[in-house]
Amino acid sequence: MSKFIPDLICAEEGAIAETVLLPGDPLRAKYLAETYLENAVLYNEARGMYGYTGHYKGTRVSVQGSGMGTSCIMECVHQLVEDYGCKNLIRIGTCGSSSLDVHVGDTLISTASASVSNNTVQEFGNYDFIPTGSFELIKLAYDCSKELGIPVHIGPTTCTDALYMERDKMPEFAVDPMKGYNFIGGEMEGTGLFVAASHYKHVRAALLITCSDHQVYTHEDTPLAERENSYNNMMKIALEVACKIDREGK
Amino acid sequence: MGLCLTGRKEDVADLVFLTNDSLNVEWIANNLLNDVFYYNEIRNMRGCTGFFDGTRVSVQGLGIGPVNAAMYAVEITNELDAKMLIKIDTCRSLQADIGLGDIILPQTAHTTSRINKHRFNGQTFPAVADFIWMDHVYTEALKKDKNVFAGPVVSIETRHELEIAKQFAERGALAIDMEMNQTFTAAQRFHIPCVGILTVTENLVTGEKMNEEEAQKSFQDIARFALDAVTKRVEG
Repeated sequence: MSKFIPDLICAEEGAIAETVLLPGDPLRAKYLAETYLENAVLYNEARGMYGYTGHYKGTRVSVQGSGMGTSCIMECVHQLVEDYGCKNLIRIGTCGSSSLDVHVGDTLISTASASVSNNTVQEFGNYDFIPTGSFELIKLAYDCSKELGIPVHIGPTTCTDALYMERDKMPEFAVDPMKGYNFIGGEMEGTGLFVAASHYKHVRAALLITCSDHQVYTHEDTPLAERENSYNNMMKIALEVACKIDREGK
Repeated sequence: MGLCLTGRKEDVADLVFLTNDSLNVEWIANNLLNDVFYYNEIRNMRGCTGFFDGTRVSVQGLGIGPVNAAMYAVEITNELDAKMLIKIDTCRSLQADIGLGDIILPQTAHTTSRINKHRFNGQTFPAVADFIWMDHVYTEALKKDKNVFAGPVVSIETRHELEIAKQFAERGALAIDMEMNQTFTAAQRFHIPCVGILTVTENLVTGEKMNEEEAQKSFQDIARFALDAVTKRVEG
């Protein structure tokens, strides 16, 4: 297929590890590389979307900024898989939450993601294709969280496409037709990640998230400046998962 | 009392096992439970409560398909106060490497039904299992040396949708069933955990298929395994 979208990633062949952590924010990729990776090499600067490859406890791992929204992360996933042979994709993102069990700073693991506009699953028409995370990776993340003593919430999440919706112009039912159902959090890339990965049998995807703001516990909101480096629990779990993947040889 | 089920809240256990064949409820009652009584008197759809290894459980027939599941799973939860749903049944594998007798734990349930599109204003509802319970059952299956797979399944509505199901298989669906999507949806609506524990009786890729007797034996094995695995965690 001809390149419809210009490359998000311009790297040398073999520059990217098989396991890639995907923060939305490229500056968080930089933070992770500088804080946790040994001998980190910057392999991508296209569009300012930093990508680094280095070692964590002996395991080769990459961290790539994915940008915001489903189109961006899907393009990123397709390139990582088709052009660079990546196999395990772990998004490390942030989300809002309205679940009373979740607080700002908590770590979340998504089992499946509900898209508000169905934009990533149009080919299934009126059928319900549910963007689903890899059970194997979710289980590894859950096991790692227990070993690290980091409590996690595991469950379905929502994926919003329009952050600045004119909610006051919409009927109440259209604003939130799933009101009353439990979601641990809501972010903006989850369905894109799962749907893009579902095109490849050998690719596994997981979605780890840190709650960065809460719709009910509004006093807990993280100031923007602190967000970049206040997600270490999630990063540690993701990096330990990369090590476990390395040991299982997949 | 609802339209499908008779009985009082106190007649139904916190743990409710669901299966689409009413006669399988009777088999479980006769072979795996003690002190059984039947609480439902409508449509010959068996629903009973008894004890498995000392733990109080109910077993309820659902009938076939999303429409039935949407009624029984909601009623048993909303009106008779079920606190956890466990769907046990047979299924058809959509992947060559998932063979006859293997166990499938649905993580999500896609569907060809439009029930949820209608319910949720056109949005795709993520019908999901409770992960912590899934993890427990998965671990129990490995301990018993069973071949177990976890991932999405697709709940179809009619027999003519097998070709459509293949489209889901290409994108990772492990198997076909008919009730998982609405069973998950009901559990999520009432904020109770739900897991599915399915056994493969036919492989749609290789064409392998159990005969009726083998399939029945396979259901009995999965029922025994499911009751043991779930009640063990509750008692623990």
